Amino acid sequence: MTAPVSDQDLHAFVDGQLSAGRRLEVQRWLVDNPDAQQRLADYQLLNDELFHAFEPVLTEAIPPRLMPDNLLAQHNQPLWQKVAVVAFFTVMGSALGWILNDQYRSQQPLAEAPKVINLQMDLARPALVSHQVYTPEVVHPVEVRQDQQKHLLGWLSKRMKTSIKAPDLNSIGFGLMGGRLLPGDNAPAAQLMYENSSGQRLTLYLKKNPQADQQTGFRFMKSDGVNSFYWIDGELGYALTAPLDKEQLFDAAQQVYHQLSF
Amino acid sequence: MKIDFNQQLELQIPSLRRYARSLIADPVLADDLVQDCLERALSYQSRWTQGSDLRAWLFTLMHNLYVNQIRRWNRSPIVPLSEHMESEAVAEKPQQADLSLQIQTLMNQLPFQQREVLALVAIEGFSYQEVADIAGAPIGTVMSRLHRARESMRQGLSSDLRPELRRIK
Repeated sequence: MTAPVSDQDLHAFVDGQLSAGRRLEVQRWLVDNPDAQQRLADYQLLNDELFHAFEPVLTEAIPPRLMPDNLLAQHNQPLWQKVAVVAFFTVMGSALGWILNDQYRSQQPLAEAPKVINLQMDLARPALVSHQVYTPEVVHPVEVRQDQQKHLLGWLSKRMKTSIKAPDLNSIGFGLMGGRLLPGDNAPAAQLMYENSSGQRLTLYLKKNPQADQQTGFRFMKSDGVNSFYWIDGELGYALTAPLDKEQLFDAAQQVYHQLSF
Repeated sequence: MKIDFNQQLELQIPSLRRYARSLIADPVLADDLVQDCLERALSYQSRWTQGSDLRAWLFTLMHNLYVNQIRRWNRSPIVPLSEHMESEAVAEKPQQADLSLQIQTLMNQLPFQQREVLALVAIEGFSYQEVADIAGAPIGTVMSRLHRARESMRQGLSSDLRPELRRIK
């Protein structure tokens, strides 16, 4: 005997918050209830549109005034300290200005440094941000789903201007869900998302490397609840992030590395 | 390398900004709310248990700040800038066929409590239980706010955008 389908069930249906069993019951019930089907379609459309309307905010540059390091400085200082700091830097700044100005004039302008990807700032950090931002999504974890895999990889390759392949991680229990394109600040980036049967999500972040002949070994980063390995292999930088322990993630990273470079 | 609290906070900023933007249409005022929230998080740092869900905690802080802000606004005779702007925006928009804009406008017209629940569920992807914790309301209340929010948005769409919705048929 199944419970009658309620409004709550319909909301939970579009929000991905029904158990698999109940979901099936609701699906069967929907067949004979076209009005409810229409309502679901409307709710789904509202979800999609709301999500897309606000999604661009995620990749906007963060205003400096919101960066925690800047906030902390303003926040914990008593007023007299702020005044002292301002006064100090004003005096020192003027003094420095005098000295530097003289030195600068005698110097040739610096040659522009070659653009090298900074592993920590350009690869590991943005990969972690995108992992944290997108893996909790229930309704829209990925932009293009895995069932359109050919389209997904073709699209990402075109936008990244290099061939993108999705490594097969089924041997460690992770199936490809899909991917999305991300605006990197200096190079395009993409995220592929994988999920295992217990709902853990793993992301592979890829970023175009301006120096195509560069290679690095695996580097490891640990943050709250997730671990990452990141490395550069020729045209692309990679960061693999998941809530797995270091050894498991290392196996996964090796798989990715071997599948993508050979 | 262990990430410190400031860096963990930084990772949450994009999602906090998105949420603030869904509550307050004016981007500058929305960022003000984010800034208040981050400052509070820094000063309440010791109350957050390492390993618990930082994102949910931050959203709870932001909820409380915003509720206080609304109370202050309601007491003050001055019309807050954001509401002023919202009503202007509403006046301009009906002719526009842009579905996405219409949906944002409709969302801005919802009462705060409904808008909040809808944003937390549909945009931020929180579970109903998490939304109940963030908003400090029983889950039944959350569900009925969600229902009213979605139903009134559907009604709002029915006039000129309905044909587009019905075209599935």
